[in-house]
Amino acid sequence: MTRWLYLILGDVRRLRHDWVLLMSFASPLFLLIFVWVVLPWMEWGVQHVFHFSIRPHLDFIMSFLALVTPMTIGMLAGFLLLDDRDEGMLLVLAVTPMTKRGYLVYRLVLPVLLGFFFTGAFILLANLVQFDSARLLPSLLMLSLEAPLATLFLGAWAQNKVEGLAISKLMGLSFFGPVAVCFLPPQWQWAAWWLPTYWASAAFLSGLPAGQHFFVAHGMGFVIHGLWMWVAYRMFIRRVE
Amino acid sequence: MIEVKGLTYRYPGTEKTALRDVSFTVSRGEIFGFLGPSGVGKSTLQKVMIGILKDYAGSVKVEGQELRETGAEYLEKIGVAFETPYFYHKFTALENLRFFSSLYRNKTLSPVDLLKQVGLSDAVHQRVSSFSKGMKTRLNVCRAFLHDPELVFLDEPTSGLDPVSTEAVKKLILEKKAEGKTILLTTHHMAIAEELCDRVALIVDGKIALIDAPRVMKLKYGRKMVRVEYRDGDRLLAREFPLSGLAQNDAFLRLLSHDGLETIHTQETTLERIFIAVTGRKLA
Repeated sequence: MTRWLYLILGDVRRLRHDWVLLMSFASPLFLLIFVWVVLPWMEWGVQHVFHFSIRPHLDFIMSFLALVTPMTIGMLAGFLLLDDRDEGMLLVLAVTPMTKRGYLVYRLVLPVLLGFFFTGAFILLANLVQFDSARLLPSLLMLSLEAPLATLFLGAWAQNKVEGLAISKLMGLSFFGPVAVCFLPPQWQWAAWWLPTYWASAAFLSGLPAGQHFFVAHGMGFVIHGLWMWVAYRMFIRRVE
Repeated sequence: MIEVKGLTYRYPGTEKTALRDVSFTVSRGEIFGFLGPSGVGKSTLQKVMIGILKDYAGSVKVEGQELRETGAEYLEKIGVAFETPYFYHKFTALENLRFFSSLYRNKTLSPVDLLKQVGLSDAVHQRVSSFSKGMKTRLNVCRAFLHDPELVFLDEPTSGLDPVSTEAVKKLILEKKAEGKTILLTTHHMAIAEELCDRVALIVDGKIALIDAPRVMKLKYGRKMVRVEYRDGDRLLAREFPLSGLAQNDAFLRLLSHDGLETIHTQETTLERIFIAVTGRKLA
């Protein structure tokens, strides 16, 4: 645990020197400001200009916004991972008692914990949707798995931080997941099944009072996340060995 | 302390064998050098002995324990300085060493004292990003000794150093040897190997071509002759005499009293020449 503490302190010290990464860490706060300040204005504006209420779509909006925090934290960890890999720190840590595996556990588990905590806090404080706490917990866990997935995707496919930036932009496509869950016709839903974010959103929505297929969404979601994580992990390991 | 028998290694997915039937032993408190040009297997051998590559054939034992069966506890006992000094560039020298100290269970040495020993006391609070190559190399050596390990692997520990810094690093290495630490040195610097190593192994094409003490090698492969250079008028002349019976050699004794005497050198060879003689390859 002391090692983790020092690694966290090390990460904090590095983030202190990188404003872009530091700002992305504050994304839950920006989301809350959006929900508390911007969304009510949007609702009022859309209602008055287009005579359209966004209130029935708050579930969708929330399933969309809930993905932002874990994905941002995951990308942040991914950039730190790229830094460590490019600076040769993975090799150096591999010959300390931390070991390469220990370092990766830290780099992947901490984003899950942070994603779980911050996403949970965001959902609670945003207070946009009604939820049952017991049903929210597994959904939160799945949402927070987006974080290590984003970290591993960056580590596995980016050669350097510049490529990492490009890949992080491409990863924005994964926000198609909640759109697919809410707006694709039922006969076309399968086309988005391969997307982890599809299942994360489906799982989140299934846990809400009007939700359906709770166990299917969670079961399938964890399997898809596990598969993607295994593929990305194998690719990352191949890249660093 | 170290016993390597029939070590063979081939990287997965490659045809070429990186290490072939390598065998040697290293005693506690010894400085053992690996000499050879780039790409002959020195780094692979180091990676096996550090415990990074475990899918080797043969046997590699450190204190009687087979390396492929060791875990993180082995890494508590070893210190490693790779040839490229990797550090967190945004941290200062002290912050880097404190960070690495935190990774070990054992009590670590004072980072400030270590930095002082290698002449970096003025750079304690300086960010590594502003370090020269030589400063990073010295910091790298400090990190290898930081947790007071029993076995230390140093890869080109004087690379990019000025003569003063080289002396400081050499002094630190010899002090650690005097404390009983075992040090494995990988280098292609002959002078460093000669000065520091108790024994060296010449490596070529993944095999050990020769192992012995540098002095023994030099005597064995050198000529037991003494070369005298002297000036006769404008001409520079040289004569060689066998070492045996030198005190009774009248021609040699006459030259000693010659006014134009300039140099006298025994003709033991250099490690570089031995390497070429034994392996047919150059070191650089």
